[in-house]
Amino acid sequence: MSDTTRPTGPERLSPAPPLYAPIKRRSFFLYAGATAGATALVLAGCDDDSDTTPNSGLVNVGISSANDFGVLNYAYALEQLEAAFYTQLKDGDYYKSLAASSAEKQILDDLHYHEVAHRDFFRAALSSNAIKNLEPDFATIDFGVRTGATGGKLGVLDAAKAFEDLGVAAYNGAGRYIQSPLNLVLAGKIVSVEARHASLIRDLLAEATFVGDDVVQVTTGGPIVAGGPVSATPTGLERSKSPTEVVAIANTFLKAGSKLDVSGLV
Amino acid sequence: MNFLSLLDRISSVDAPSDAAPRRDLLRQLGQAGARAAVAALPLALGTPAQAAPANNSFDAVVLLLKLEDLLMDFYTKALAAPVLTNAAQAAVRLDFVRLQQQQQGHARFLRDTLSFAGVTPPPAPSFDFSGRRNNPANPVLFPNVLTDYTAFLQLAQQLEDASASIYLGQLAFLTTDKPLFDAVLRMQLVEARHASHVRTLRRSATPATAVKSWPSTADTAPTAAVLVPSTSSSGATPTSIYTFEANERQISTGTTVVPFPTILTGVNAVQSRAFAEAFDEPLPTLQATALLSIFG
Repeated sequence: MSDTTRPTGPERLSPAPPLYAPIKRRSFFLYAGATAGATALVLAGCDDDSDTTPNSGLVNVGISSANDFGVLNYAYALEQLEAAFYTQLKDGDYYKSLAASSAEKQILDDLHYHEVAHRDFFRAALSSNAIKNLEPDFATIDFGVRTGATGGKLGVLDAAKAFEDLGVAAYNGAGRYIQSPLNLVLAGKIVSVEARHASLIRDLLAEATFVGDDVVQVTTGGPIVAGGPVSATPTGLERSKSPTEVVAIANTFLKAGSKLDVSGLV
Repeated sequence: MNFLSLLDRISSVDAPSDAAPRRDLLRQLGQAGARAAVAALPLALGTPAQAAPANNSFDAVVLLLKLEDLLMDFYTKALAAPVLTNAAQAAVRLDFVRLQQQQQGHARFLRDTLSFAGVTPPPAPSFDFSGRRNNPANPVLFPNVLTDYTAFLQLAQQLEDASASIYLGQLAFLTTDKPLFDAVLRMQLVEARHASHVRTLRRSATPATAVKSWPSTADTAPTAAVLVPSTSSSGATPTSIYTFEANERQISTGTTVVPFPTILTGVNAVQSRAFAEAFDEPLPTLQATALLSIFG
């Protein structure tokens, strides 16, 4: 579900507390019911949770109702994308122009190591349930410049910022699809490091931009929980993106045949 | 007495067949009857004075509230003290204003969550960042943190790293309450962004300190370390919070450890310290509670 307010039922319950904008309390209880209904539809339409759907050419990450393979494949797909980005970055002219002792080179090396470790963690954890290796399409990234690429392209740090912020928002919006407590905590352990990456890359681009209103409710409010009550005032909560919102961005960096279908995450 | 079980009992009065889901804090929001009954009980009377936190969603929220109160107070005091009113720190002062505002937002959210569930939130304790526990006779554990920028940053880094880890530890107790899990994870991430930024500031400060933006075995260790009880045995020497971060073993399912040294080879070879760096680690409740009690 997206970060926007979910339609609620007709009932109005008692007033919300001061921080929250008025909400219909019923929205909290819609989760279970809505999920059960939608799940039934998905189960009817898809009986395999990690197949490539031949007709659409999309890679279906799987479903979120029976087990965690779908949501873990979703995370695996994003980690594949990030790892592929840093791998290609290290072959690019900008990275190669950095002195061996430069802080930025060491940072980019570390980010590459971390993302490769994340990707291979999921590959190992999913084993035979893993989706295929995705083919990235980084045509919109200019690996020769740090930032401010021409021709509508992204420089390497601009792209790194986009991928790290996207990863954080994606994990954030995926917690509700994870069933196993082990996997929930595991996702927390990984996304915490992604947030550290995002903060660092933002500081490299412009000092003290480690949190911006685009990623955290800094100067404006927003949903307390997705589909739940909305705070009119800033809460200091990280913003999240639904799988649908995430793949709309991620798919622009994936080749045809590797683009993601997350319709099973409901 | 466990306060949450009290809530359960009260809420079970009006719906005895459906008590289990009420265990979840946010789901109690609609229980007007339970709210009215429990609101009459001040928190201090509802729980034994120094009860060890149990591992449930209610205690998790109370623990996190104390953490946020601590961080907010730390920055509030620093912003009013020489360490951040000094002209030399004019360029970074705004960063800490921002950190303070976000901790305040988190504390307010957690207080409202408790109020909304019908519980009177505990007031913020009186914190002492020297480590003397508000007693001048005790030794100073963290000297000059409100006067010296280097000392301040060193403690700020440890508190923000600990904060990210304490949140990770408590997430395990919120897994049956997805809306609350969602909100708490989103606070955890902001703590991780803060920790990363404070580490970046340490690298660029004068004098600079060699630390990465995530806990690493390559980091310069703190000279005034925040120590917590060791997990090895009850009599063991207290240990740095970073002991927990050195973990290189990640479990995928059951007891299966992902064999990083075996799979990350060839073109995927990484420095071995990256196995630990790539994952932030939870700080267990016992250690988290002990850490918070150092300051208040």
